[in-house]
Amino acid sequence: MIKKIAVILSVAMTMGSVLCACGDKEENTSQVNSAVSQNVVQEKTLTDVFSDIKTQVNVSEMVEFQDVSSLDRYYGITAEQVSEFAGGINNSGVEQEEIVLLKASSDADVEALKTALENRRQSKLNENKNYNPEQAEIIEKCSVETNGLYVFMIISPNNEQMTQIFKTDLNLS
Amino acid sequence: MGKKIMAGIVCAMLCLLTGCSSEETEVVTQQKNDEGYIVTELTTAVSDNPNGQISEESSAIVSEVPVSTKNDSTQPSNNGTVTSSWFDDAVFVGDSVTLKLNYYCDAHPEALGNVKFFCAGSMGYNNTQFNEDDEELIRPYYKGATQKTEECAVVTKSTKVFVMLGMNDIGLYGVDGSLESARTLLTKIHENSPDAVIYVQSVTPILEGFEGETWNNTLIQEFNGKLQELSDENGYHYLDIYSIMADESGHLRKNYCGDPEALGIHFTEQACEVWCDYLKNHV
Repeated sequence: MIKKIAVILSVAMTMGSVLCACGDKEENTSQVNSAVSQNVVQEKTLTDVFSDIKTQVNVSEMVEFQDVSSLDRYYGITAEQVSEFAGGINNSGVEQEEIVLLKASSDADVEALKTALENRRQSKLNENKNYNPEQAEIIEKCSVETNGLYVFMIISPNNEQMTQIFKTDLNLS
Repeated sequence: MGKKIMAGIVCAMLCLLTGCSSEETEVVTQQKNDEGYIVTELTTAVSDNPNGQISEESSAIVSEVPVSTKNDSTQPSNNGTVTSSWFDDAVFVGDSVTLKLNYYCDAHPEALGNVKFFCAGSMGYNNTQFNEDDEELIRPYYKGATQKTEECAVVTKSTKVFVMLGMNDIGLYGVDGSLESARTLLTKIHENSPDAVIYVQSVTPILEGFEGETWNNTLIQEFNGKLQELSDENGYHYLDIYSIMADESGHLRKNYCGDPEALGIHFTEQACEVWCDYLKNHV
């Protein structure tokens, strides 16, 4: 009888240890994460950057890119070509403000993304040069830029300010 | 008795251990049964090893709802309207007025489903047919490239084509000059896609105070009348968008005008909603 009780107690102790181990695992993981976050500065995402632009600069009413299919419809850019994206297009059909922030999946994709945005910019310029010269002037002053894996086109009367926010947020030169 | 207690404790331990590491995922699948009902099935897959391999499954029928036996995109609903998915294989050709509809539909996918747009600001029946080397040639921009307007249905793989142009023509080429270009472009679209159904939409009204001598609502209505005759002669479907956007004096309704400080011709979100509803009821 004593032997049986001893066995039962032994099993119960083992169970207790296992349960404690389950709980400790998460605790230990969060401690490691916390230590890592103290040493590494979190890099901003393009969604963060676009959010900062909207907060700090007066941006017109836009239809924003909700998913990568928007990029395909407007620019012929596929999900495989970009690892991140954010932005939007003025939704009036008249004003030409357009903010497109992309991060290429690889170096090999950068040129194709740049070409797609340059085609878009040229098309907007052609549409407006004889019809809406004021908007054409805004488009003409803006350009498609690349920096590492980042490709971006900011067509806006506030282009310079927005570009500065983009570069500062991502620690780009 | 002792052995039974031991077995019970060991089983409890095993269950607890399994509970610590297993993950459950739910997958919902739908299939149509022989009687035309959609059967929704919830499958619970249990993964209990580090590689995430599924080792146990359980499933249950959740609900059954009746469905039409015909394709939704070609089937009008009972009240004579079509649903938004009817426009999944439609392309809209237009100028900046239609561009606004493009952005509206992007923000409201429930409006016209997965519709495509072949638009360019300042595009007209005339300037989209200029020669390749003409600097004033305007072509729609679609999927990263400018495209030939007459290839709209081919490029977008659409079987329904909705055209709304003319606003940028009437002031420059007059009613008859604009109409001849409309006839040529619509013929080209038909020749490129003989099986596509063509819907010709009227030019829409101008806000009061924005009309000019060669560009006004009287001329637009004259053009629209001739456009309807052209459509009837050629088997195109004419859609009178002008009337739903105009007030009792024939001008663009103030609450439908998105640029009362600029040109007085572009639409608000409310106007786009009215436009979409009209299309769903009249195609």
